[in-house]
Amino acid sequence: MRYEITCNVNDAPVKIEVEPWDTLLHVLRDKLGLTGTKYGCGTGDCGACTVLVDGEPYVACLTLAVRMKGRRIETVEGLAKEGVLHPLQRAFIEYGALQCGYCTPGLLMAAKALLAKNPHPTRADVQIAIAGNICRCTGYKKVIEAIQAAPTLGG
Amino acid sequence: MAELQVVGKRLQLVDSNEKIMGTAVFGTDIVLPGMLHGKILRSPHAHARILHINTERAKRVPGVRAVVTAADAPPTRFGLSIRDERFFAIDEAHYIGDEVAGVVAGDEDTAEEASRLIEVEYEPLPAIFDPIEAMKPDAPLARRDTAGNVCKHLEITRGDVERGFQDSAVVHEELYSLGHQYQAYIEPIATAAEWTNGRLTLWAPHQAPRTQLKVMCEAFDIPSGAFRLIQTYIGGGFGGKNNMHLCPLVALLAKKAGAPVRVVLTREEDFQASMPSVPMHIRLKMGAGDDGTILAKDVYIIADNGAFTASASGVITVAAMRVDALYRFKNVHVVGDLVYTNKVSTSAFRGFGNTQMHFAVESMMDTLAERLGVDPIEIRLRNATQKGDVTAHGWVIGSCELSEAIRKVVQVSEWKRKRGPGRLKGRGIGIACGMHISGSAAATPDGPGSSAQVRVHEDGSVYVVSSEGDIGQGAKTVFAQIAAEVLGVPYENVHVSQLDTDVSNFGVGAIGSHVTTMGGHGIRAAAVAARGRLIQAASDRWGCGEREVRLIQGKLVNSVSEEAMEIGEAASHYVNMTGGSRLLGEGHFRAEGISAPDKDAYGNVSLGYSYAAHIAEVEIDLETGLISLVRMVAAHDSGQVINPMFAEGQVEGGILQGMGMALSEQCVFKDGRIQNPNFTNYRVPTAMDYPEIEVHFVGKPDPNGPFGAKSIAEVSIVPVAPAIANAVYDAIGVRFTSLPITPQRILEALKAKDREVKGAEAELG
Amino acid sequence: MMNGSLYFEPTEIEEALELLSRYGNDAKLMAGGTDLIIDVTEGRVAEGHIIDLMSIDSTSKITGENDLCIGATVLLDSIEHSPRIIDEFQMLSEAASVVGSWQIRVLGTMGGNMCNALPCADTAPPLYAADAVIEIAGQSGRRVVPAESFILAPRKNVLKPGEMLVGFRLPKAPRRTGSVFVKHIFRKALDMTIISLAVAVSLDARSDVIRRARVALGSAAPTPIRTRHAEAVLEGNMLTEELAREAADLVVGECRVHDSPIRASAEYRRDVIRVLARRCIHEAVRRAGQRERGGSDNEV
Repeated sequence: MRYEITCNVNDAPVKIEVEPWDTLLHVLRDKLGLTGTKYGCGTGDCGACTVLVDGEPYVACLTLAVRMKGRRIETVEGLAKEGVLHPLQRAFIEYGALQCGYCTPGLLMAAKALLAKNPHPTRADVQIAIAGNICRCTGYKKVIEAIQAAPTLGG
Repeated sequence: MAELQVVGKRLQLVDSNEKIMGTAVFGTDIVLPGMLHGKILRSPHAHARILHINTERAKRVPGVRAVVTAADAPPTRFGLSIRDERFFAIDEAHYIGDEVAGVVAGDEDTAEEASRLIEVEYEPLPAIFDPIEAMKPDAPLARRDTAGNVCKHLEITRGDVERGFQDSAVVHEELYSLGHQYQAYIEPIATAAEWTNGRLTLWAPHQAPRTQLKVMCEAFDIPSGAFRLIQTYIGGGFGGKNNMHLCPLVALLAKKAGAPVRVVLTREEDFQASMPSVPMHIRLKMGAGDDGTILAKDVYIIADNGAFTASASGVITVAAMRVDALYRFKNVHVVGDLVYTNKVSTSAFRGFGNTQMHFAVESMMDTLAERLGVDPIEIRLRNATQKGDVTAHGWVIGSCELSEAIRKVVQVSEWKRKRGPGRLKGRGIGIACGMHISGSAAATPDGPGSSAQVRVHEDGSVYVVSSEGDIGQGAKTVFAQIAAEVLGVPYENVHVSQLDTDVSNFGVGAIGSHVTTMGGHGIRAAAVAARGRLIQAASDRWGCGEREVRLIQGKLVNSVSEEAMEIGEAASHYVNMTGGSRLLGEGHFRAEGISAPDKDAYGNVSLGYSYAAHIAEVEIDLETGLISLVRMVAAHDSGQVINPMFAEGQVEGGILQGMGMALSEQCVFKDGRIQNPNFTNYRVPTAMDYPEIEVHFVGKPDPNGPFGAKSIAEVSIVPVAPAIANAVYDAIGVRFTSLPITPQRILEALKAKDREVKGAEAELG
Repeated sequence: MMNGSLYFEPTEIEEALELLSRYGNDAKLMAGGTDLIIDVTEGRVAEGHIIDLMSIDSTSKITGENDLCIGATVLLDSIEHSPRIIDEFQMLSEAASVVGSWQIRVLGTMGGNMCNALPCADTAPPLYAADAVIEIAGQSGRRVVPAESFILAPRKNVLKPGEMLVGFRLPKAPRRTGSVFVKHIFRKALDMTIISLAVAVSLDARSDVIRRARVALGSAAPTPIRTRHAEAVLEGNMLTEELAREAADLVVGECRVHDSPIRASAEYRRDVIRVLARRCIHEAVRRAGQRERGGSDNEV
């Protein structure tokens, strides 16, 4: 049966029609055209589909869209405001923390959640926070540096 | 020579914004108007005859547009080297995961549901999984369409190996085994296809579009003009996306459905049906003189081809030969057999066979050093290839800083102190060296070289049309830097196209470490051509000779009248001058003096050769076997580094991927079925596993590379696993000749050693 | 069921039970959903109507004045960070902190972890070592079972049709209690557990005699287990290296490990259990010893 869900996606109210077993990943990518959130494994193991739901890092592939009633969802597309990049985005670029860019949206969202709770994370804090985001290109070094540096970039 | 302004600088990726904002379109993101979705039905048997396929029930599912089998496909054979691939299984499935049928429907769920209603009658056949078993005379055929399981045999001899062994003070023989490593790119394989008026357009995250087009021609038996491949952004390749069996399949589905079709593999499918690294048993025998000079090397390789060949034929050749440019080997003999088995096809993985062989050779070097009583550093310095060498296979080493790389890592890692007394129990330090080609002629289907186009727009921006593409490693960025350097324009003003085979020239793509090297030359040639056109336009505008016009820091200057003009102005004038032509420089680079190995496997094969030394430090919990890679110090000779930030990134990523190969990654097979087709049980290093990494660049400009550059992306993984294995030996005195070195194997080995020691003590006591 | 599934969001336990009774096997109780959605995606479980438990207020809290009550749908992330759990049941906070990844911990629940009933359920050993009981609600009323009896076999728990797990109660631990949890895996994150261990030790109010010991393991048998022989040998004694080793050997003896080609062999698991049990016993005693002496004998 179809359910009409009203929620907030990147600061905009959204109304979607979903079946109970539709994942948030499917709805974001295939119904709302927000393909920034990526499919990597579908089983919550790689973190490529990480989005923020009320500030918490959820793997969208294991999140049912029907449960998103009234929730505030943030995806990578909502990070930059009117073309101005979020400090995390600027840090990633400056520190060379992305190569192919496929795992980047998920990493950015996990990092954003971390910095909201812990504005000055140690390297170990960052490692724990992004342990669920697998990156095959960068070797994580510049990612960790960028996340630690982002709060100093201001804006 | 003038100081470089853009090349050599730590610049951000030219396509940073698209990636960081989530707007870059990857293969899995492609959406086309009217697009349908496809699902592939795969064989559950490792080897079976297909007696009958009944698609009636599947076709009747509402929303299904087409159900396709081999009966709907041209009965052609195709493949990268050996033509042993076909569309769908015709009358025989060769591995668990083999493509048997495809369904096209309005959505993925419907296609999936319908695929489960396809009735396939199989007759299981004897299957063979072990390449050594497969070589026995009474072994069943992995494929009934072959005469035997050995699909390729090679043998190469140089010098006098027998004499070399006779002269050796120490001879050691060992068997090394490498299993399947899965590329684990985070973007699974995907393809979209659409036919319009008999022409096919493919969208795919493909490393080597040109090669795929060749395969499409063979598959459909249609000339190449009918095909177009648009390279999407690629979410990691590492060799696994240089040949996509999905391309001809999805093209077929789209043809039958009469509509555009996209197929995205699930992660589980990708594990089952992509192309992991080529497993090898390597029997290696090496002999060294008193002073550590290697006098002879004898190798026998048995490589597991899986059910199809793809690049495995090239991989075994590389494994056989490439390492002989690492040290001054004179007397070498190598035999190799590539063997079909009823498992997933194996193919290219970063390092392309060189990774596997380096594990063996670099482990052996430490063993020989110990037996000789020579330091592992000394034995490597003694044998290290030097600039100007011509190797046993006729490879000409234009530049080489291997010795410097070794000295660098020894110094930075504090090797001597860490190997000395007072070191902590369970800690070990080990070194390994590596080399790789840098612009290989063997990988070039159209001859060694590259071409490109560089346009200058009327607003002064520069648009690079590359034929080589970008797999996420930063190729576009390197190209933008080169173009900016030649034209003297700000890097921010340069844009690089997505690769579209209708627009760009033929290229090779990300194989054979081709991109920065030959690709960079092509870009440079095109930028130089664009510069020529700019000068031509300015001279026309000023009514002076071309010799009086210079391009200096992005401006055209009349050296006589001292007038100056922005390049955009010159480009506008060019449009006017020609009645509408935009200012385009077309250039190409054709490499001289290199070619793919001839029938004697002799001759220089690559523009250049890159070198590296890595020192690994490990820490082992002696009671549980848990092992941590604590630190990795790497020194690389990649000539002139074009972008140090991303060259570092390649080394850092290569180290993590090599760490996975050494310590935790392995596809586990049972009766031909992969037991760990997910990221929980296939263990790729996470952010918590990441070690301290330090990267140093010690290269000098190479005479043959663009701006003196050499490759880095593949060589960065090559020394990692042997450095770790050598560090483990240093820590606990156990030599692991197969990977991964898991805590369980470490503990088992420690216990065995303990029993040995106690046994020996009991005998003495 | 694909397009016929219904979705319910009960706000009371009774509502959930009523739905469960009405739809029977056609309905799935869903807490975090992290295990269930994968089971459905991979075809092990059929899609059905969804009874979403996450809007039930009474199962979403950590409460209790003496005994600690943790509702079935409390997030693992909350358990990890609860000051009370960190103070009184550190092993449980540590276990919650290593389930999956941060993304899994903000979605997943201990109720779901236990109902999934796998031998590697990371929250099971600390619950066992805390003498926890599990509250079950059904149409015929409530019942309570020891946490130890809840998991019967892999993927099989003690719930009858129409029942649901509603909460956990952990009896207040003696003041001088120290506990520790370790999860042994090859990578530093994300692996499925090879061996996990929870040890809780309560020392005498005034001396360092072990008054009470609890040792529980995951992935050491077809279900999580407690090892009572080991506990018995520790109780009534002060810890020595020799005693720790003796207890560790007994722990190994009570385990029934098996070979897993993609994880670890039985022999390796036994070796690791022996080492980790010894280390955890030392650590639990050390943590208990950090709590001030004094107070009445009645305390223990």
